[in-house]
Amino acid sequence: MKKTKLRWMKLDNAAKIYPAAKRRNWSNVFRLSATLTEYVDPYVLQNVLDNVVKRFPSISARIRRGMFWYYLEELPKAPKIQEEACHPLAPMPFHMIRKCAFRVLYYENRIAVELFHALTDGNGAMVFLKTLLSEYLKEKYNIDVTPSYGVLDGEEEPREEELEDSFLVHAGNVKQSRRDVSAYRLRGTLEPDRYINVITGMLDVREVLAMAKSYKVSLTVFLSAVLIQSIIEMQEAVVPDIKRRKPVKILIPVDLRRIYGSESLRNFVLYITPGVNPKLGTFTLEEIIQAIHHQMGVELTDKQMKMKIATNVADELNPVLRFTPLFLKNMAMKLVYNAIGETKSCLTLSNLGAIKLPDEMIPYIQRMDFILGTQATRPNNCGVLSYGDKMYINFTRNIKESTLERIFFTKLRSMGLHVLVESNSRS
Amino acid sequence: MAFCIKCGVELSDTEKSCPLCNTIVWHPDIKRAESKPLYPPSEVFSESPMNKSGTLFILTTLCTIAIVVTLLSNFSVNSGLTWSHYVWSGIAMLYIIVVLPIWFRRPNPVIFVAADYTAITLYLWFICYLTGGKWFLTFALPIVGLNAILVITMIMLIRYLRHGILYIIGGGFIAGGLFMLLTEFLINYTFEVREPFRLIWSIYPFAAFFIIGIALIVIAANRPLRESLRKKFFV
Ligand SMILES: [Zn+2]
Repeated sequence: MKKTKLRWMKLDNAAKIYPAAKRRNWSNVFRLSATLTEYVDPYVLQNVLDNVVKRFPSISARIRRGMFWYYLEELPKAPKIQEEACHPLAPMPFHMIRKCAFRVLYYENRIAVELFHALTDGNGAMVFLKTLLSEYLKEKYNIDVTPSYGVLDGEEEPREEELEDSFLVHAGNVKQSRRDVSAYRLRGTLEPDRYINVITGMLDVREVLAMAKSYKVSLTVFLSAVLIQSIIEMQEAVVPDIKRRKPVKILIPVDLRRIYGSESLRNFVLYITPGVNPKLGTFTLEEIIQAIHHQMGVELTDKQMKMKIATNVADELNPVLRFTPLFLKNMAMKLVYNAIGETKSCLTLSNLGAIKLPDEMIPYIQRMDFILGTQATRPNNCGVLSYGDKMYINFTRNIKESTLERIFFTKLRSMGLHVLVESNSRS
Repeated sequence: MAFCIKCGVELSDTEKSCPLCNTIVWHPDIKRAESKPLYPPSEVFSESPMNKSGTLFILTTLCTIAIVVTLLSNFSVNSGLTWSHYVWSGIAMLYIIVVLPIWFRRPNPVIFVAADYTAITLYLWFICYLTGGKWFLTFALPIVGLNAILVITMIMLIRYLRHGILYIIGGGFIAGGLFMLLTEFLINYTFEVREPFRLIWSIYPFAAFFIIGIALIVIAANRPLRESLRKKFFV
């Protein structure tokens, strides 16, 4: 076997914050999983992974420290797959990330990948998982899979455009102020052992789609509005004085690949934080939906997004910042992250949309899930995707109380949507 | 197939109670299918919660080594314990003040401040005893003791009352002023500087503290005044 030189690359523009923002017992991780129709064969999975990683040098990687920046370094070989032993998204402390910034897990019928966010975003990771699945199914069931719908040919060499930092390519010329008001902070009783509670709500995607259509908005807008209405209710219960209520906003990642035709497997998302201000009075769901819809319309224009990217990229290109030693940079970035990183929104709602697979794979895959880790200081998060005719809404939290989930799902229920709930709660 | 009677959501077979509202799922006619949990049931976690014992161990060991070395060197040079008394008692006091709060997960300031003052008092008594001084009972003890009472009272009031912070601080200032008078009195008395009741320097800080204290209490009591001050001095 010929020994090739290991690739290394700078962290992409969005990734730079994650190693700096990490804490002793927290780092930003997320998870994608697929549930097969049969038990996972760990032997086949490991074999397949050993090959597939070569196709994804920017994902099968670890984070290393340079003098001035962190960087990604391709792993010489695939990590060992692990059988799941606890709740999803067990902590990935930095000493692990320095050896390998992702893990591949299996449990009964399910294959999961959990990644440190500096490697890639949900959509990039989905390409990795789909390709891993297709190679697994090919090997295990001897089927042919046409590389399509985000499944890459595992035998192929990685392409340069998959490794590019698309932020640098698509930045505009004008910067924007980052000033933004802080959002209401959800609170609760922290799980003492840092247990992560997951509650999955399964809905019929056609039902939800019809509901969103009736308001003439997208699924993401509809779900965000219901979530915002739920948080408003929670705030009303805790803060009786209307003048002291804080804006309720949620952070929504927007995939830029489709918009800019990028094939990057690195991070390429922008975050927008639509919301409403409860100080202004009570909002009906219809009003919230309209508010979110229009705010997203304003934010998601090409020029607005180019400006946002330019703002983020400018710091990276600033010569003074560039030549600041990493440890100082870390301290500064950590301060910025603690001050504004998580304070501008109540939680994240990330919707990967409808996941499509090549026809040959569909009979073998029952279900897929997208689970976000909790943030450092905000207790809840929410990842959504739909596969087949089901929509999977995965709430994670590091607190005991499931108030947000209860209000959110009972709201959907009272609109006549059928909700099936599953959890890993310890009762 | 079961539904939560409170939330109306359908519950997966894995759920023994509704994860949203904790209502137990039970119906006499419905036999629920057994199903594997969604995620492995293990509740134990790979990483132990925050652990201070390492730091504590190192600090305790360092203090012990320092004390032992001092005692040994003092003993071998002077064939008896002389100056080392000052050193080991000093280290012991520092240990109580700095390291003791680390012992507790959430140190209660009332308790460890009281412990700190006790340590200081004992240390002063020991020094006084070693040097054959006569200043402990009439000077050090009342000064440290009253100071402790004052500080602990303030901490308790601020911690448990949560309101009327201006009153508390105002009262604290007045008490601090009185404390100045007492300090001079005790200095005069113990060290026989002059007649105990002839107070010379302490009147000035007393006056300043007293006026500030009264002003704070007036501001606290007078809402319109508070508003107008807030308007002038907002940041
Ligand atoms: Zn319920």
